Amino acid sequence: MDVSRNVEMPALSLDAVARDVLGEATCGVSVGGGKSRIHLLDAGALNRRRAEDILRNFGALRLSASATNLDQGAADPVIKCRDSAISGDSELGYLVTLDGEIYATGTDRVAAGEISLTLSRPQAGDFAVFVWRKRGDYASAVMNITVNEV
Amino acid sequence: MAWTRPKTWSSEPLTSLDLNTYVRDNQNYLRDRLDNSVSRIVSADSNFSTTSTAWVDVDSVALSLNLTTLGGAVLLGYAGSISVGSNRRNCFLNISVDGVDYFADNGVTIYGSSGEGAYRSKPLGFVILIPGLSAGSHSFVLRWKSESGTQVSMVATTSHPQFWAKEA
Repeated sequence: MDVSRNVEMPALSLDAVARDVLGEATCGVSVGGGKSRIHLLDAGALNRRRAEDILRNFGALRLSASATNLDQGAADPVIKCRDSAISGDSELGYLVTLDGEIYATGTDRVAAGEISLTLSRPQAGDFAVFVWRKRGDYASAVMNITVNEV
Repeated sequence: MAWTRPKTWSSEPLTSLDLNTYVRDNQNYLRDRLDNSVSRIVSADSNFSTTSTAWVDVDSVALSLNLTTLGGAVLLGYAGSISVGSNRRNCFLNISVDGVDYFADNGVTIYGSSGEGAYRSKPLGFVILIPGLSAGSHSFVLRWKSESGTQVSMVATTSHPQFWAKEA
């Protein structure tokens, strides 16, 4: 069974949050034709609701970045999530892609109501930093950062 | 209209009834089969992608066909470009016929990236014969899955996949 929303999201990001939240209840996601779909192997009510929350709250977190367009060698960009929704969370998941390929993934502890991620000495390319809640409404957001070759 | 096995005439009169049954109707049957095809050429605003490790529709509208057949075999074909997001990972293509995956294991064909760089699109195509379909309406849907949850993509914006079915 699929749970879908009529908007296209980055497939790797959606996959990351879906697998983290749903575990073996999902076999992955699909994007295209104007839709994003989460494929459920176990379509019980709880999993359906979680999948709906993931899709509904994709992009709902507030992210900021010290720079979104910089030259190689400039100060490392810092991405912060300071959103009231995460005040009770202990950690958030994150996925960083570079030119569409997975660059880094993991979890980061919430400290003083925020998380802070630093792209350390980034190479040139298009980075996407995706952050998601691992509980509650599973809200998420993506920040795009371009590093120009010099 | 069904095929009628042609009669072997000997010395009996040639009647209009026989001519219509064994010549006209069979000619019509053969011509109808030749003409009976359906095709989709996809021009989309974005490419299709999946990370699914189980068979899923590539797109249940854009790459789905319905063909009302006279009965017998159907040829199915696909041509397009596929990329795989990680080296040494595979993308598998399959079809479903009337809602059932035609192959249960790894489908019709496999495209694997092999160290030449992720996300480089390569051409992929197949033609497959589906024998023994009854007369009537049949659905054919292009399906795919990825190995280990790797993102696989089908180009549908700047090149245009075609999925077609034709009575054989």
